[in-house]
Amino acid sequence: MLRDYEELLEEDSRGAMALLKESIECVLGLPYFKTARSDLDSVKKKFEKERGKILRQLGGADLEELAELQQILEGDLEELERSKAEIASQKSKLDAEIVADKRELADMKEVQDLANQRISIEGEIKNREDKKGRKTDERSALVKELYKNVLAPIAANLIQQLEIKSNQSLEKYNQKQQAIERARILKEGILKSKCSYCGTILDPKKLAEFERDLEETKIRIEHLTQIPEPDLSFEISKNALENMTNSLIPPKDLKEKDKQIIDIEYDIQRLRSELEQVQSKLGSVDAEEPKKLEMKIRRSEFESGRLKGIIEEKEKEKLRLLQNKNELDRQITSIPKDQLQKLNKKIEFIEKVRNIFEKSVSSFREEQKARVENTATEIFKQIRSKEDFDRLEINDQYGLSIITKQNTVLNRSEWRSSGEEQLVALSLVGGLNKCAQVEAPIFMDTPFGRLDVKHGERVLKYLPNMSKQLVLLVTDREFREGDEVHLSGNIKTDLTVMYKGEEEGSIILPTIAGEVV
Amino acid sequence: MNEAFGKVITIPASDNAKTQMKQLVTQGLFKEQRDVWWLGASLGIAKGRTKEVGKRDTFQNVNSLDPDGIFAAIMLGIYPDLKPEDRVKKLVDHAEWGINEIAHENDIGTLDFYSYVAEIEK
Repeated sequence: MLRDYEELLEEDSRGAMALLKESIECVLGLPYFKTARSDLDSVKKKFEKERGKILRQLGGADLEELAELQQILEGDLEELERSKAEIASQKSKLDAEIVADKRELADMKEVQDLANQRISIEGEIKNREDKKGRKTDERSALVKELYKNVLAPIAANLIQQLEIKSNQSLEKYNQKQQAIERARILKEGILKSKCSYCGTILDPKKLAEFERDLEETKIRIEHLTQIPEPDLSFEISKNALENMTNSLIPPKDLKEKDKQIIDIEYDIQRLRSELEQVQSKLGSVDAEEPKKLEMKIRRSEFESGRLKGIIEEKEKEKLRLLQNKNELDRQITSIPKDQLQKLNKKIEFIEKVRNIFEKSVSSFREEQKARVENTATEIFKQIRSKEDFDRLEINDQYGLSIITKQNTVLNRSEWRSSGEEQLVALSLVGGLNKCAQVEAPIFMDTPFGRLDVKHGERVLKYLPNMSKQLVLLVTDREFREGDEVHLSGNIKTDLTVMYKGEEEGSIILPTIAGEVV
Repeated sequence: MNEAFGKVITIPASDNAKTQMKQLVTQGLFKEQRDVWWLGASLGIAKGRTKEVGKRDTFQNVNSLDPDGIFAAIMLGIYPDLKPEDRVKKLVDHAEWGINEIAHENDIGTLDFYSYVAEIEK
C-alpha cells in the first residue's frame, strides 16, 4: 500500500487521487455511512422512478415545470403578438405611403394621358365646331326660307283672290274668242248666202238677220278687246304664291336646329372648360419626378412584401405556440396531482435523510482525517530527523504536506529527498492503521530503500508501534545484519526468499543468522 | 319689268338698314343680307308695319331680290291700286321696319326665329 500510495502520489491524476481517497476512506470506515447513503439513494431513485413513470406520460416534465412552460408560452405569445402588431403597423404605414405615391405617380402618368387628352379634346372641339358650322348653315338655309312662312297667311288669301281674278280674265278671253269665231262664221255665211252651221240657203230676211248678228258680235268683240289678252298676270302671281306656300319650312325643323346648335355650343363650352383644366395641369410637371417616384414605389413594395413575409411567419409561429399551449393545457389538466404530490413529498423526505447521512459522511470524514493527520504527525515526529518539520497536513485527497515550525507548507514537489517522501508515506500508513475501524496487518515492501542509515534506524525503531502485526519485505541491502536490534526483539519470524531457478522458482526458508544466501 | 313694280330695277335701302343687315350676317344669324331683307320685308308686310326713312340708296337688283316674284305677287295682291313705283316704296318701307325689328330683338337678346312663325300662325 505504501508503494501504491507513493506511486499514486507520483502519478498525481484525478483518477488516481480518487482511488486513493476511496481506499483510505474504506479503511477509515466511511463505507458504512456511504452504504446507508446509497441505500437512501436507492429508495429515492425508486420513488423518482415511480414519479418518472407518471411524468413520462406528461412528456417528462412535472407540474411545476409544466406551469412554468405554460407561463413561458404565454409570454412568448404575448411578445409575438406585440412584435407582429408592430410590424403590421409599419407595413400599414408603408402601404399607405405606397398608395399615396402611386396616386402621385398616376397623376404624373396623367401627363401623358393629359397630353393625349388635350389632343382628343381639341379634336372634339373642332368636330363640334364643324358640326356647329354645318348646323348653322342648315339653320341659315331654313332662316333664308323663313320669310315664306311669314308671308304664307297673306299668300293664302291672295291666292284665292288671284284665282278668281284669273278665272274672270280667262272667262272674258274665252268669250272674246268665241265671239271672234262666231263673227267669222257669220261673215262666211253672209258671203256665201248659206248657213255655215246647217248649210241652209239664206233668204234676204235671214241674211239681214245674220248681218245684224254680225254687227253685235263685232261690237262685243270690240268691247272684250279692251281686256289684255291673254291676261296671265293673275295666273303668274297665283303660281308664284302657290309655289311659295308649297315650299314652307316645317317650323319644328327650325326649332330642332336651334336646339341642336345650342347643344353643340354647350358641348363646346364644356370641352373648352375641360381643355383649360388639362392645360393647367400640363403646365406644372417636373419630368424627372415620375422616374424617382417609381423607384421609390418599387423599393417600398419590396419592403412591404418582406414585412408581409415576416408577419406570415409570425402567424405560423403563433399557431404553433397556440397548439403547444393547448397541448400543455391539456396535459396540465390531466395530471394526477395528488399522486404526484405524495411522491414528491416522499422524495423530499428521502432527500433530507440522505443529506443528513451526507453530512455525517463529511463530518466523519473530517474527523477521521483529523485523527489520521494527528496520528501521522506523531509518527512523523518520531521518525523524522529534521526538527524544523513540525507536523503533517492532509488535504481532501489525502495528499500530504509537511508544515514547518515557521508554518511553511512543503508540498510533495518541494520535498528535498525521496527519503522524506518515504517518511511521510510511512507516517500516513501508520496513522491510517491506527485510525482504521478494523485491525489489520501492515505489509511493507522494501520500505527502507530510500532511507539513509539514520532514518532507517529511526523507522525501524518505530515499526513495532505501527501495528500489532507487521510484515516487512526487505532486501539485505536495506536491512543489514544487526539491524534487528532496532526492532527491540519484536521479530516473530524471519524468513528468506531464495530463488532456485526457472523451474523451481523462489522458495521461502527460515533465515539463519550469519548465513549468506 | 313686271306689273307689280313696273320699270323699277333696283330696290333701295337706308344706311341704317344696310348696317343692321351686315351686323346680322356677321353675327352668323343670316347667311346673306338678302336673307335679312326677305325676312324683314315679310315681317313688315305680315304685321302691316312700315318705317319711312329719308335717304335710301340702292341695295339690290329687284330680280335678285325677288327672283320668284313672290314679293311682287304679294305687293300686287295687297296693294292693287298703287302705282308700281309707290308699290316699291311701300315694299321698302315694310322691309325697313322689319329689318329694324329683327336687329332690335337681336340686340336685346329676344330674337327667336321660331316665334315669328308661331306668331304669324296664330
